[in-house]
Amino acid sequence: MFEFVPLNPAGDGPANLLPAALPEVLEETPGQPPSLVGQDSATGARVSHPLGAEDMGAFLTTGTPLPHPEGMAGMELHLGPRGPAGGADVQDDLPQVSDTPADPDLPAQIGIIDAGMAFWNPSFGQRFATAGGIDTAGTRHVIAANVMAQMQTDGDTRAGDRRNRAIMADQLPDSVFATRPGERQLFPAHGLAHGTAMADLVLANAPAQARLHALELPVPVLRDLTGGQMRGIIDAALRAVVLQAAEHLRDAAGGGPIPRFRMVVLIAFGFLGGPHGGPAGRPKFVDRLKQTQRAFAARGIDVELVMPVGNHRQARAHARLPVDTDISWRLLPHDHTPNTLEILHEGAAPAVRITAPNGMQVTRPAGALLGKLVLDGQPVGAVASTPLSNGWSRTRISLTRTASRNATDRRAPFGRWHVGLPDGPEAQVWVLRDETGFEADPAAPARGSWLDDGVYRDRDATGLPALNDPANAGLVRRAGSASVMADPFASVGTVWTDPATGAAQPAPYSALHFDGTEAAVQIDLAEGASRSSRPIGPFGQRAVLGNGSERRFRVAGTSLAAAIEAGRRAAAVPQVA
Amino acid sequence: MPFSQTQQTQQTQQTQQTQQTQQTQQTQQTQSLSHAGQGSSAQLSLALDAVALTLPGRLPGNLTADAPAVSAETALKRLVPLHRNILLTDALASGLEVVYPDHQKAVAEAQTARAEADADPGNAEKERLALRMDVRAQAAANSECVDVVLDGQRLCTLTTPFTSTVSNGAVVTPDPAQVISRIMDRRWLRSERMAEIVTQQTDILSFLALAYPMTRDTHSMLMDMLDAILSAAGRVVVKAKHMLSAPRPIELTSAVAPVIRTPAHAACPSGHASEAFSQAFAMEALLFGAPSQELRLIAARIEENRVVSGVHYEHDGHMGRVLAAALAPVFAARLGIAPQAPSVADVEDLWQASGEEGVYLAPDAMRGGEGLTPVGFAPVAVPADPTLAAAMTLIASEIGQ
Repeated sequence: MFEFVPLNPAGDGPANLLPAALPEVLEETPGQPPSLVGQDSATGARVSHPLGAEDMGAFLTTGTPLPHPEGMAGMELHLGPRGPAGGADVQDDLPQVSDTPADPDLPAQIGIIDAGMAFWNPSFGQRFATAGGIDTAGTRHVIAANVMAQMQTDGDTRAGDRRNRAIMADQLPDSVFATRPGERQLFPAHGLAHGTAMADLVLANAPAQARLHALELPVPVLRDLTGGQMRGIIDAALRAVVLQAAEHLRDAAGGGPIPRFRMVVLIAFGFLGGPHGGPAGRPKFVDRLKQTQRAFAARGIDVELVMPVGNHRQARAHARLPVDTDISWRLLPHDHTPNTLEILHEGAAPAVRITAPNGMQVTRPAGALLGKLVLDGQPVGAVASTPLSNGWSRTRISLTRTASRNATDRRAPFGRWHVGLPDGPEAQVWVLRDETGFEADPAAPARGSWLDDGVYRDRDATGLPALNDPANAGLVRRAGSASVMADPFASVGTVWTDPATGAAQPAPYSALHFDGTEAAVQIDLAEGASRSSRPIGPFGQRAVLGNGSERRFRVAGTSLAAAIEAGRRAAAVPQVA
Repeated sequence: MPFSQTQQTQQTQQTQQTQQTQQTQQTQQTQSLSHAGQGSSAQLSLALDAVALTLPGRLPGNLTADAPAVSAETALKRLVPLHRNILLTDALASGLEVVYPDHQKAVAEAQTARAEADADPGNAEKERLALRMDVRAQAAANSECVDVVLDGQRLCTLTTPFTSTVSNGAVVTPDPAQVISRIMDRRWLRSERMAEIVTQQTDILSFLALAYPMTRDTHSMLMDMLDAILSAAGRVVVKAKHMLSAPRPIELTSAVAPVIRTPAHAACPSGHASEAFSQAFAMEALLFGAPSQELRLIAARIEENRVVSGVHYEHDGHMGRVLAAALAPVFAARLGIAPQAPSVADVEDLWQASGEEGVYLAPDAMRGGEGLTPVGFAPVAVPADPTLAAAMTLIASEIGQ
């Protein structure tokens, strides 16, 4: 038997209630409760508040509001990391900026918000000006200049590399450098690190005088498959990296006012498939980033954000959902993380029809805002609908892991699930951010889920990678697969050059905006590459530095293109004085 | 190359024998004679003959029929691997048979079990047994089940993947499409499992040896015994497969597209599951004196890999696990040691899921201990069979008992 069991929450609750609170909804024993994070939509100020063990359960079942301090009233709420919360938010103690215009002959400062930046790699020389990180509470940490200089000096030996990693683990305990008890090392000396690869490509294309500012993201944000923690912290991270650069310029100027300056910030860690915000697909946190950009501009700092358009097409993460038509959603066996679909639609909570792989079916009745899915007596997932704006709503379906090493954990059956809105309206559906690779235990892997309509093909009729949705396409769409971050900023896609014709062709993995258009900027991964590092062909991978040594790794993706573009933009004439 | 091959073991051939593919290799093995450590050849024999003719060639005056006596252990060690394997396998498998249950008798047994369950309401174990016996009686009418018996006593019943079964206390009739979809839904694991899938076609022991360091040089009799366990289980498996005659998944639909060769013989029970779990349970009894979570996880992964590769149904693996649990106490008794395998009833009812999920979902006692220290076996009797007794003496020496 497959049942929908309604719950009685007190209001909409935190924006990322599903899947962040899925353990509580399924009445598991999740260990530590999540924290509650509030963010002022106008100022971006954040407040963290630890929840008690029973708070979430009371919220879900008895309609008791989540307890929070007075200052959090009226803020946009989301659930933060489990465990102790607190700490200070990024303080906007921006050094005084003079009216002196930015020197047009100087390149922009470059910020990179990412994970695993081995700034001491001998290939980088002294190009990194500052390095720091932000923790899960939003507190920023900066490596002292003298410590950083010593690390850069030490970086040319294996022993020095080891020492530097230990220093990073000590100074930035929330970063990928620190190994947590019982967990694997996320940034081993022999492996690829995304942040270092980004820095390599930025510097390969930036002017020689351009200096880099590294900001490490905290691991819980990387692991959070709701996207909620990233959206809660991204504004603070942006402000932190700009402050880092401003302080560096202040120190360089002897402590006095600093001239206006320009900064290019690369955020190549994408929001895969959501969260989405409304009919335009733009969530509030993106608007907040725009506000922050404007606030810095008003104070003399011109900040440009460069984002990858995303690589979503291969993951089959987006589909349209006509009335009374079901889309298939495939969950893999041995997936130790939950999977979530996000359905964007007009109107309030619609009826949602869900079919399990064993053929059992249940319909979440229209108007039911939150409830759990119980299959053969076992809670396996939940459905929640949340109003957005302009009469639109978002419905999320979260299914718990398909495998676990803990016998008491809930499990959802793997295989093909089906989801449909029997009474409409027409909707768009995304697989919510499903990034893998940061799991604590590689033997308990996170596996991405995908949408499947039985029609979608990776290749067109001639056998070449399909780059657009055919006119009579099925439900799964390439259009709309772009990162929700990409739209309002400098979004970068990838092209490759066909040696036979010399013509640039879009890379088959580049995502498309909602209207089916390519990214505004298209970059060939071969740009600035030596002969030995150059990618070949449409799926070609470029050899990049990926760690603290001269060893190179071959990778491809639009984040590489965004890094190249960020380097190029640093050299460009500023658009704003 | 898997280490069991580099160690010139017989395990490869043993596994392939159950797949009926490499029987000739077994025979060839007995004919690859050696002479004083050298390979046999006509050239060597001619040379030896030339030298032999120069020797006196006189018989002693007191010649008798008595060769110098050697111990049973030495005699066993001197055998070529195949002969040793045959003797050990025969001793382990003696009396084991696979039969179709008599329908009338099965009905009567089901009625008895039902009456006992009804007389003791609330006894879940009796209720489960009654359900199982009822399913067995129905399956017996259509030759859809077989009994594995020891000297006429039923050890377990094996059913086909499409026979009604008992799950969560209810009788369930499998839907063929659902049975196949459980294979299809694992296709995306194939690429990451390919190395082990291909290697495990012919080598199980290398993987189980992750839990205990053994080589042909250091633990030759232990490995011979494990080979014999595999052979003895394999004998039962071959008969059960032939009698149940369950079609392979690819025979039902080409959509399965297996990534390794589908064996020509029938599907159920899974030979790999039967053999891997038989060896794992034997290693638990011989080396750890307790259930080992690592060994059970390894065996479960071997079992599931056959589903992932597309040549078995989940049910084949479950039946292989049931069979291994049924044989484990028989083998342990013949080796004079305490068995560590779970009961057949527990495996039937509480360990149904494939792969590591099956292990983790089983009750704590069935999951086994983690990271056990190899303390050896606890002897409970001297093996009645002299070959097995000699083998156990040698194994005790090898493992430092």
